[in-house]
Amino acid sequence: MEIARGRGLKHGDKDVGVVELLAEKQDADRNFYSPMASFQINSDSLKDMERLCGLLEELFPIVVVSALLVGMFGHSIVIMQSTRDAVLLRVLGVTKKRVRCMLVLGQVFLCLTGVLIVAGGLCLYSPGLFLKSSDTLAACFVPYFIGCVLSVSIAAVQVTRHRILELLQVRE
Amino acid sequence: MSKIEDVEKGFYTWERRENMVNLALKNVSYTYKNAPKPAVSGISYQFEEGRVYAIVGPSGSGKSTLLSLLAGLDLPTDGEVVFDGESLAGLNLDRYRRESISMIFQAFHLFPLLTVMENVCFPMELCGITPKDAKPRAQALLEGVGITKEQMNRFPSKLSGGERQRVAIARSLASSAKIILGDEPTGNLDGANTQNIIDILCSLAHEKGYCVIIVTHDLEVARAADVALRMRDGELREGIVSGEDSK
Repeated sequence: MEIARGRGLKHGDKDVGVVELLAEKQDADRNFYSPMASFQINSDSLKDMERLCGLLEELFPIVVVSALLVGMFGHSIVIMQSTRDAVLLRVLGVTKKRVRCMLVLGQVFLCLTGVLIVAGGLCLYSPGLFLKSSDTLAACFVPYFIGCVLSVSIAAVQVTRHRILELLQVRE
Repeated sequence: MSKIEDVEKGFYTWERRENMVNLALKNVSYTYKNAPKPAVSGISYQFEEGRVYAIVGPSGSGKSTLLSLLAGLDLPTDGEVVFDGESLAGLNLDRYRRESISMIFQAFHLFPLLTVMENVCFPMELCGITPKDAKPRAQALLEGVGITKEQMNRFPSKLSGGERQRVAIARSLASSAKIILGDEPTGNLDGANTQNIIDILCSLAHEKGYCVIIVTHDLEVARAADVALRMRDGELREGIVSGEDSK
């Protein structure tokens, strides 16, 4: 590309027009001049950035799977920790179905609260970034939510199947 | 008589309960899965209102299993537990646990995230009483077991062991239950608090007409009870308890 500076210059058969460009490619220096910017970008750095972007693209499915696993195990562990409370509710006469609903809805509510906080926080911080990354966020949030619902449902059933009185006794 | 009226008459005004307690074991046996012998074997017994029963026995004798059967937490593999003339197998067990029996435990088992007042209100709200009606009743119950107004707004972790067990007793009285089942209720308490709890339970039985059934290793509790029952190898007998029964 030839230097286009000032007015009324031509580039080949094309009229460059009113352009205040400093677009100059010097193969020897391997520098790129951005027309509107005042910094230089090293092509080596650009390659590193491209490599990084490629890595992020490869890692993204792992991130999605991690979200699913956190949703599955994190919330079910919380329910397992609540076994004694669940058993006590059964002793007080709360039906099995109601105890399960309480456990599941509690964790689902926490999951949704977390999702809303992250999405809301990002939206407040940078609405543009939030809009651009909405697909990515959805790709993470949906497996997290599904994992949460599945795991807490299974955990709630397991917790309410325990032999009741044994769990409330003090082991000597 | 509606449920709320029954509840009001039953404990809010501290009137003596007129209802007869009819809880009986008819040749009850229970064998755990893959167990070589039954944990409870052929027990027949009739419990009456206004009495304190202590079930004493060594570890592994089947006391807790028997308590589970009385509380409707398990159904016997043989025989039946009869309440008010009906077998528990034919009753809604959740409703039975909610309205007919209540339990107190060695580890108290109060909800840690609820205040003392909320813990006692909880069973009433399960029975359909509104929080507005439940609060004065809970207050009366807590005052009856010696909990001050200031303590009522605290969380259970801020109370001593004896105070927590008294709150647990108040919670057990909150529903319309006629029967109180205790699983080692004095196990975590010192001598003075143990005597305090025994006095409260005896008072509930003798003055208020409750049927109190306590599973215990504590011979002091057994001696304070009206009837001491010895449990050994799954069998139940009335009689004098000895030091061997506390092992």
